[in-house]
Amino acid sequence: MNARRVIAVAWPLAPLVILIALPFNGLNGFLLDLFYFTFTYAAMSVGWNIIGGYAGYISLANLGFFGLGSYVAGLTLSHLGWPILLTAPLVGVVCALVAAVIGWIALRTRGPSFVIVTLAFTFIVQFLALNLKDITGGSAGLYLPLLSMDPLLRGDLFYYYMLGVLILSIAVAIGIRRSRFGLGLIAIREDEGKAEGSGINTSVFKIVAFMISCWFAGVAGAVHAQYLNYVDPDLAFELIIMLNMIVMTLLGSRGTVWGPVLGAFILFPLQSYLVYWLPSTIAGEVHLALLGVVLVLIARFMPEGLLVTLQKLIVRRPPPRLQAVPADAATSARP
Amino acid sequence: MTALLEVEGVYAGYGTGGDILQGVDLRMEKGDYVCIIGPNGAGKSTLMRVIAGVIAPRKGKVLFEGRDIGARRPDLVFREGIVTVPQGRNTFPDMTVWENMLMGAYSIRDRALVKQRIDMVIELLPVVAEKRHVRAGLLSGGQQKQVEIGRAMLVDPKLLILDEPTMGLEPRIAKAVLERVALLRQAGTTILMVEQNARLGLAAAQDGCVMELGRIKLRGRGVKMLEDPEVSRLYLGEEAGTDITRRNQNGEKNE
Amino acid sequence: MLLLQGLVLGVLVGGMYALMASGLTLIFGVMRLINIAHAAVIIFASYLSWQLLRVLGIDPLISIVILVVVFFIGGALLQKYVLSALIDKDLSLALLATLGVANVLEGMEGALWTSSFHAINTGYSDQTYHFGDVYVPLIRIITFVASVIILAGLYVLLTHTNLGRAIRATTQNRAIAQLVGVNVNRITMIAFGIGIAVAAAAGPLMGMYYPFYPNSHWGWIGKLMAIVVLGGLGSFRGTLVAALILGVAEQVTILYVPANWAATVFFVFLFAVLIVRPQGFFGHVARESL
Ligand SMILES: Nc1ncnc2c1ncn2[C@@H]1O[C@H](COP(=O)(O)OP(=O)(O)OP(=O)(O)O)[C@@H](O)[C@H]1O
Ligand SMILES: [Mg+2]
Repeated sequence: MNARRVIAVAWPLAPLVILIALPFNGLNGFLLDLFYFTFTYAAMSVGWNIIGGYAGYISLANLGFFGLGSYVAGLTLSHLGWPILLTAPLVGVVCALVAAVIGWIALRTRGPSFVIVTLAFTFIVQFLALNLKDITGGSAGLYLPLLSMDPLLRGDLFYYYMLGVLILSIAVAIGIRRSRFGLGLIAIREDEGKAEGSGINTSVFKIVAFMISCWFAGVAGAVHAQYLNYVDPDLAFELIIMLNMIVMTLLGSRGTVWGPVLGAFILFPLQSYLVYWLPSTIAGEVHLALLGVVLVLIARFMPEGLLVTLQKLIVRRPPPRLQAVPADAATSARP
Repeated sequence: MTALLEVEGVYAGYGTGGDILQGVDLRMEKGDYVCIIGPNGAGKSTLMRVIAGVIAPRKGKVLFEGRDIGARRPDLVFREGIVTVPQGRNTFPDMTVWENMLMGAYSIRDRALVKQRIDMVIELLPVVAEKRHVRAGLLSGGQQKQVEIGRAMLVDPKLLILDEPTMGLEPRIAKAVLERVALLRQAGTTILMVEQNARLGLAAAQDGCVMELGRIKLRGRGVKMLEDPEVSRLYLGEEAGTDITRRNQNGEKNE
Repeated sequence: MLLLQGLVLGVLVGGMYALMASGLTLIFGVMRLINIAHAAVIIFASYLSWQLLRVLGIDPLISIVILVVVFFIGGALLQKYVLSALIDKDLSLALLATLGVANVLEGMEGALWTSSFHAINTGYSDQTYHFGDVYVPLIRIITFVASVIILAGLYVLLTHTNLGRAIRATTQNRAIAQLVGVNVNRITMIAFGIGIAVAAAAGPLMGMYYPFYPNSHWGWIGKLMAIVVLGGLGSFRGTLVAALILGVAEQVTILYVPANWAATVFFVFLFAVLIVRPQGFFGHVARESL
């Protein structure tokens, strides 16, 4: 019993130790990159899941915040010389503050305005990046000063940096899940009217969840700008990034702590392989189309995601009682 | 002989919640006119929804002319000949009164018949003609109720279900509606009605049922129940307290 | 005089915007679903029309007829076999499925037709008429007239037929629609099919008006959403008015600022509406109730 509890709580340490140790065994550059990208996607998906999974509000703004993070970090680096790896958390804060404004506009009411506004937000940021040429360099993009360090260590640095962000995101996700705040978000997803009725300030809850979600997107965008040493409106707002956050979360299991992580660790390597294997003339297009197909298929046939589906297979629960039970028993049996 | 409607041991509720109906039995022969009374929250509307197919029973059966309609969709129940006017406001608010009428006749293909029936409704409920080009959502609550009732009368149902049809109507119209219902019944329509104005309802109907805590407690001749001191005390609001609360709750629903 | 020019062009393009947005609003009305793939469907129809002109020499205005039929069927099938099951479970899943569809179409177009610009050029594409100081390209008159004809047809369908009334009844009060005998599942399927068919009708017109490329639908869906939000989500008439307003606002703005900045007009309106009056300005869909 006790041992089981320890395993239940401490199991993440095992993969963590492995992931920390991996670079010491001389991972080649390709694998380092692969992990870096996987961590980045995992952290962003965990972030997306906080608003999209816990609270159930589909956000398309996280891509906008990824790009915004890239540009803010890139501009502060090139104009002020502030090193991105130090400013990234602050860039995230900037994104979160902008998210608060967007949330205030779109999350005061229930219903569809959120998805519309978040989509519009992503356009607007991209539009500004493209058209404020004097600041952003327009479509030519922004070349950033290189990190002056050993190229071998450079790979390790990004690996550990994003591993750290990923761990932080998971810790935050767990923390939220166990808090009153997290319960509130889930109540909002289940039945917003009831949540409101039970005294939850739903607007504030949703806005805070959205801010946290966008913090991770902003940080990831900032770090990625340094990783590429370059920012441009196409790369910073690549649709496939948004799509991936969503598909990974959905595949893993929306609304769970580990689902998005699982989804990212499955999907990113698969996609890298696919893109590598496809003829380069149409790789991007086929990649996009396939991810779209995967999204539709998951939504249609496995909307609960891998984790929950597996859990249901493994953990045998007594079948839910739908049949009539005496009144008092029925009410007390409610969760 | 099979009854027109047989509700047998029905349990039902909403979503994952507990059972609201807890073993309802109700039998109606062709030509019956039954009025259900009972306190707020007893499950009267829930029972109407089960019969109309809006929610499926968790246990028990709903038989109509011997066929099990328990799991059937509302539109198919409608096509069996059961027409329901639910509690509250149920117009199509952004359609004109006239279009609301046409929606009531949605299932009738014969245009001449539709015209004839609408004329009949107009005679009974002049508001339908007066406001024919007005959007239904702009009418007063009582006017909307009249539109709904008119809409239900367009088809010639085998069973007409009216959930608090007189709620929010001025006394004159309420009386006219109940008279019209009585006429429909004479013409052979079977009627199941929920009525908060228990005196009016029991006087109009042939049978009365008292519903409480998800069960039908009592059934008898409407007029007899009116005279029964026990029924009067418990359900007809002879006790000032209950009467007032009931009125208030009704008042809130009317807005 | 310049202003008059903007006004005329604004009304002309607004007519086409109305056509592009009306399917979106119709679908939102019956399903409470934002069809993120709506503009992608339009662009896809543009490509098909381009292909039909190229290979079979079919005039884009004729290809509308073919596309409408094909897309109606495709839309209805998509609704019946994918979306309806999702909507019963969780509306956000259906939303994500439309996002998936948008990407499938975009990726497919890129693979089939490359990612460069396409434009539908007909023999009559380049003519321009002058009325006093106002110049009007013939193509804009054609797209406007075609849009108005199709919208008028849609309007008559919605207001004067049993099917149309059933669609509106389902939009306004699904539960009661069922209680008057409407098979709302079937009506929803048909309405979605009609919404997609209208998008298909807009495709060739859009393609004659503006060049397109696989991911240009992202720019369009933003504009269309601004229109339907201003029009009060789900309201047909509101959408028509909003499309005209935004068309004029855009064309007038173009006269004074660089053309690429004119698109911001849509977002300014979108945010202004959501801040001031989240339910939109022209009518609104009644809340669901039983
Ligand atoms: N849509 C719903 N979802 C969940 N619970 C409901 C719903 N409608 C009714 N209930 C619950 O079912 C119970 C019975 O409601 P019902 O409407 O059947 O009562 P009623 O007898 O018609 O009362 P009234 O006289 O006020 O109309 C109530 O406790 C109510 O809270
Ligand atoms: Mg009731």
